[in-house]
Amino acid sequence: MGKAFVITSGKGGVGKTTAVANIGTGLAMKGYSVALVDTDIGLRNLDLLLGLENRIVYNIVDVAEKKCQLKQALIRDKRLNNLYLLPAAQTREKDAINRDQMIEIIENLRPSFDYILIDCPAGIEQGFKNAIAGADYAIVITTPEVAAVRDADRVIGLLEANGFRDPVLIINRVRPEMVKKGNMLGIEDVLEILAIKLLGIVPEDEEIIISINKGEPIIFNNNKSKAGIAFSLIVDSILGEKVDWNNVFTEPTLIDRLRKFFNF
Amino acid sequence: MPIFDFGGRHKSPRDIAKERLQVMLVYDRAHLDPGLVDALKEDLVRTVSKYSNFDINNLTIDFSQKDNQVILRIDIPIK
Repeated sequence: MGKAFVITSGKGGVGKTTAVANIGTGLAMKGYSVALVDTDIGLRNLDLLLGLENRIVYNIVDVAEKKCQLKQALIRDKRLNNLYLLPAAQTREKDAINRDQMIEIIENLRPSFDYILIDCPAGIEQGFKNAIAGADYAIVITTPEVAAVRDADRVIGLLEANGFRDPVLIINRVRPEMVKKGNMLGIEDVLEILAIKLLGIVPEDEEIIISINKGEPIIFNNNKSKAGIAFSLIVDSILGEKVDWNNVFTEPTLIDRLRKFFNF
Repeated sequence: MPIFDFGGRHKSPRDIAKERLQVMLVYDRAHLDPGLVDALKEDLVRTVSKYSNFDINNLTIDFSQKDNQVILRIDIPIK
């Protein structure tokens, strides 16, 4: 039976959908069967990030309303035959689905998939409540900015109130140079403020924009970009491997370089 | 930013962000608006100043968090 993760943030634009596309692709690359569920009804985007926008026939609201079978609405990925997308409806309202329908859909996906990743809409209203309803685990994503961290704190409070015991955190769009100069919140600052366990860090990376434009998750060429490497490490971490994030994206100092050069 | 910054008199934007967040989240978690706390302080000063012996100029209001409970603490020194 598959495990269901919801990826949520409170604030919009911090990287929920990008994280879902990349983590899902990464898990599928490791051989697991994965279903991605877009619950952002009215503002569907996950299909674009995967390059699947032209293949959509049915959507999650059609499944909820029993207008089609779950299998008919699932779209197989272009690159990986063990990765599927259940798209959101684009022309419906956020309340087109209720909690019970969402739970039923997730339960029906469990027997066929190892991992179910639920892309949550921004906000904390009905769409959020639906998205978390069927999940076993919660991943909160934020950026090192005051507004995003504040919203993440609110979401963590709501998750805990809804019985999620240990939500974990992804800090996205980190700029190590700005942190070092004292111009941006650092990883330890965010962790101290939110008092939550770290799942991973993703550095700011222009390659993300390019990958979204192409409709191909960056993790697919994971060794070629900082963000791709970061998402691969997050996948390892979800699969239970210990990842030391302390030294992953810090630029080497002059001393480090000298040390390496002279081998001392 | 000044060109010469001796002795850390100027806080970095990173420190300012952290401090602002820490203060803001205490209010958020307590479901309180910061302005409400100012109003509470004014009311307290008005009430307490009817009585002598209290040093209302040094009245302090603090929040602390113990597990999931936010605690409001008011200290009024006695002269």
